[in-house]
Amino acid sequence: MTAGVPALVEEIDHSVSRTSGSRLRRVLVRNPAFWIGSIGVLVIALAAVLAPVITSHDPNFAFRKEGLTAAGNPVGPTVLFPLGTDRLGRDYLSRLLYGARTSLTVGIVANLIATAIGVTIGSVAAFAGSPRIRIRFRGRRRELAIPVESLLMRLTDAVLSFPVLLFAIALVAILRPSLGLVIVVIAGVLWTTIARIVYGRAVVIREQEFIVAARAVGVRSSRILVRHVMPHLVSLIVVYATLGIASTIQFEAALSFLGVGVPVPAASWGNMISDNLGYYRTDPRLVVLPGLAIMVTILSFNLLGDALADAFDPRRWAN
Amino acid sequence: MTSPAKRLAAITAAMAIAVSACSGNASTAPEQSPTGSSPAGESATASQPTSIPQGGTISLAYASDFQHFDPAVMYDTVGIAAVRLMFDSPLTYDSGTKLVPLLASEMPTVSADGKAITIKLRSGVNFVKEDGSVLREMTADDLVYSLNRVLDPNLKPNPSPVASAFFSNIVGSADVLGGKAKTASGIKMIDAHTVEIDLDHADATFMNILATTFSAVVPKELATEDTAAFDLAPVGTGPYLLKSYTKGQQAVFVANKSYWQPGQPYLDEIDFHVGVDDNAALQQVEAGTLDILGDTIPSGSFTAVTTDPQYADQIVHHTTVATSYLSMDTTQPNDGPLSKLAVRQAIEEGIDKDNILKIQHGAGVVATCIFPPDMPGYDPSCNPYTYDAAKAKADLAAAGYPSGFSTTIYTDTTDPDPAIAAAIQQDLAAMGITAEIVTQEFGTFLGTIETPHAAPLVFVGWYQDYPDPSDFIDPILSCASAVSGGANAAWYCNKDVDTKAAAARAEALGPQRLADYQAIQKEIMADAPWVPLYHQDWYTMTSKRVGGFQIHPVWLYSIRDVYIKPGS
Amino acid sequence: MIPYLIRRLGWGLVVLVGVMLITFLLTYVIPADPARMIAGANASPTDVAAIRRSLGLDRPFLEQLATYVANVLHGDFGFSYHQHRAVLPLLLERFPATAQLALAGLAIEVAIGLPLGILAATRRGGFWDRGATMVTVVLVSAPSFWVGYLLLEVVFQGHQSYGIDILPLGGGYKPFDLRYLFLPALTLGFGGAAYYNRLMRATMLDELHRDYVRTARAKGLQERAVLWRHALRNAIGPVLIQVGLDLGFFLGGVVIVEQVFSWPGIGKLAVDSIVTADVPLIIGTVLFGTLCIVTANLFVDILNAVTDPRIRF
Repeated sequence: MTAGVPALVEEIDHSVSRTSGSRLRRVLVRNPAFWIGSIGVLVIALAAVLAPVITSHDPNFAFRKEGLTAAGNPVGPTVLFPLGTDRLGRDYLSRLLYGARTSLTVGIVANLIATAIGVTIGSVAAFAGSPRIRIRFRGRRRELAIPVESLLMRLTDAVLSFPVLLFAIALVAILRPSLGLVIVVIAGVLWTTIARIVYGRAVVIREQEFIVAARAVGVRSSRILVRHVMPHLVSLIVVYATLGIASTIQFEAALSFLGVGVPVPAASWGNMISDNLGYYRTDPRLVVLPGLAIMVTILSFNLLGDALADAFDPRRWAN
Repeated sequence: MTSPAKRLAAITAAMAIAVSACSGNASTAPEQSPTGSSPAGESATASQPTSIPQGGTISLAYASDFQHFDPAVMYDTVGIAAVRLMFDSPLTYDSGTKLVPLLASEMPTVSADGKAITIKLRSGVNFVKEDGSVLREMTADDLVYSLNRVLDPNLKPNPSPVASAFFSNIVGSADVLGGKAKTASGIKMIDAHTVEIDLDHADATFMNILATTFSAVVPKELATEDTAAFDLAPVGTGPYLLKSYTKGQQAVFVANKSYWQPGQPYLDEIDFHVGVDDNAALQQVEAGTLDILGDTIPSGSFTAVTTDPQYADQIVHHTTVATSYLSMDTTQPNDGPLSKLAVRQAIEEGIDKDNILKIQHGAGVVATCIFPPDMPGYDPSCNPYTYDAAKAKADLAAAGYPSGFSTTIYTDTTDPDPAIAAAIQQDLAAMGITAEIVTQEFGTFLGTIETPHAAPLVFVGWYQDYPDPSDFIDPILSCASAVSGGANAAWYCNKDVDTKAAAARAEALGPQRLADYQAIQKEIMADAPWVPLYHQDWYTMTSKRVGGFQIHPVWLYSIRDVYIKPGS
Repeated sequence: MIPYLIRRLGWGLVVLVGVMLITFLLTYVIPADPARMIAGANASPTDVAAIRRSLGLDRPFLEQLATYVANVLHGDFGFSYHQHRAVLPLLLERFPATAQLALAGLAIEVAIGLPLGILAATRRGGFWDRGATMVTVVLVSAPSFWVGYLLLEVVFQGHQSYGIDILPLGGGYKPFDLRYLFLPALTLGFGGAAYYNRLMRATMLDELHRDYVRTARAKGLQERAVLWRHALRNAIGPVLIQVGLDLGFFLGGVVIVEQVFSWPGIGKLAVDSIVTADVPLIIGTVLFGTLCIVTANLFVDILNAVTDPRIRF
């Protein structure tokens, strides 16, 4: 391979390329959704990181005397417990803050894994085609075409046909619930969306002239993928990864709500709702607060994702 | 919906009560005695009080669904309420724990050696079909058939869960259980209205077995080996008939106009709604659109509802004949810390039982020994250990664990069990013991308890099968139960206790027998296999018009005694 | 076209068989012992062993699998351990409840999402666009189990404080009774409305940028006619396809909403079966859900193939 060819390809590459940085910034700063979303994400991330600084209470410690009324009910906001306590007398503020850690951990880690799987499968499917492998069969050499593209995409379709929530509940209920398992299960069922989107985009890119040219001169598929295709996918991946965090957090909350998520006594917003659900009539604070926390977090990531999508190109991502 | 775990576990909850006396509570609750004191009971005397009004429809709601209507295989708290509407057993209990005849015309007689029991059945009792027409008269042959049917290993889709646990003392039962015979030689029809049952060894508790729903009499031609078929079209001699049942939604029972007891049934119709979330059901009872809450008052609304003066006469509660406890593996392998008596005794002093009751709003009684209140032999003076956190820590250090140790608490996922386990965890932490909590779904949990030494600490409960102290020793604290598959969570085996318990079981009923059981209880507690925690007080709520409803010590809900108060 | 459809059908079957195998494998490693659960707390080891034997649970894995597959091929999906009924009738019995909820929920999603989406597309970047996006994003961000309980509480307070007696308290189910259906459907609909808003907006914008729209406008056609008679008619296709796919997804069981409202549908049945380790029912519900989705996909493929000449086979 000569040095000239890739350089040429890259030049073309950039000419068909992306939204310029300055336009991006201009569009973003004018979009209130961007500001609301990023401030929301920032606040929640800070709450999670600074949890031990904001509160000195152990989120799992039950204050039997101060934290419960004589009748054994949670107490409302006091100086000691700014947001009151839960049904066991645990400080609700600390549980909410540590719950943010759970949600963000699951949201980010599970989503990173899902994104990695999805991007790999989507882009490999688009560029691998049907590689031929040589085998010896009954003493004769044969060539066998492995239809990697259709195999991978059929696999994606198959997982998309799963009743994912049911499947996840069954999986977690069968194995012993733990934070790690919840992350793996969520990643295992949610990678398909991004795989499809990446595949759809990569198929379009693969037909573009600079890629066809690169292939024609014999640049290896893997190199094309990494050097020339990925840069075009970055904005797409950023947008869907952001939106994906929202759906991952929602998924975790649903699992925890159903009692098959993050195990007790660790705080998760989903299990805080289910733990204290009986109080929604007599002490709505216990249900409203974690619900609001989930909503604000998901809303922030959704707004940020939408704003990014809009800024990159509203029509390209629309569907 | 105290928690989704609970709602998820709704189906198992019926059985989970056997394991964990669950739920809501309040020390501030008004002391309200059970509404009505079971005006009729079922003592089945020929002259029923005539003052009980008849007619009308009442409704109940449960979170879990029925599993069976066939008494041979039904073994859950929702099912028992329905089965006792449709079927009668030879014996039953009055409004307390006293055995009285039901299908039997008098209390059965026992031979001098205690091994032969003769049951005389009433005449003129009919099996009544779903449409209200009489199938035929019940005879002694039907009782013989019904008892053998419970032993039948070929019942479809599965055999009875208690065949061997309850009936293996009958002469010849092993042949039926083993599939070698169709009938046990010890179950004999003497004449059309008399049955004799021969036992392998004298057993004072067998009368209680004759009062369980497993001994209910079913018609031979309809109750075949296919229990699923009989579940769909149950026919018995009871006061109500199953009119319709939609799985997951509701079952409707209507009055059996040809019921043999005069004056009964009291109601025209009883509607069981199933799959109803407990908070939703509570809302409906408060609004008056539902009559009886099938589950306990959910924790979150407990104080609000039980202290509200407008509901004062609608709250019904009674302490269940159950004990919730923390078992400790008394024979922990590899010289584990729990195998040391001094360590177990330190833990006995380290658990704050008042706090455990407090997080349940005080709905219960602190347990200090094994037998619960209402169980014959209950001994309030038995209180060998007192809570003292500082002393517990010191005693643990003296026992050779100044810096504690690490262990695991197992419990099931039904609310509030994980919360109670968390409270225990915090108590243990104060002593220096680090305990991890593992919550398991009910079936898995039972499996863990029954696997030798799989669980060092277990938070669990035992709910009586029948009111006899032997039911709290033999199945859970005997050497025979400390085997793989047995329910002895503490793996406790004391040969001396075993000998004394076997002797007490065979003894004739009376004060001496109870005194012997109380001595056994003390001896066991000295070995500290359990930390007894509490006896749950079952709180529920009815609409204003419900009369005759009580929390029965054996049946929990005895719906056949319920009527609508006059003027409502 | 026929070979294409056969290929799709074949693939659907492969997915179903795959799901069946995976589910069976998972339920086999389940630590819960169904026999132990059926026997109850106070049963003796002999009783448990007898139950285990009668259910065939003591046989080797491959034998159990073979039996199951053979039975499924005969239309027998097994016998629920816990409900004591055959699995298939249980599923069919629950299906009407789920179907009502699925249809009503979808109708609400569409009823909220489409008008807002059209509004947003026609007023792109303006107040209505941002407003519609904001409203629907808020709706989709609120967890449905939370929204459901809030709605129930509002109804209860309305009843207790003002004697309003329109909606049933605490949820529940009556066949084909709109009063019972309303809140669950609303809760379900809120969640998906944002999606339809976004989809409608996007497809509508796509159409509005096409040449024929420009031509129509140039011809002096009224904006309303352009919008409704031309753009919308073309934009609605992808939306309808999505409705079809979602319907398949919902018909397989609406897990959370059914749970919150005590709605006796497939989703609630599925959750109950999982909690009670009711293996035949777990496999049955998961298979049923997959079947609904696969069927919907197939149906949409056919519809696409018939209506869209651009699709190559």
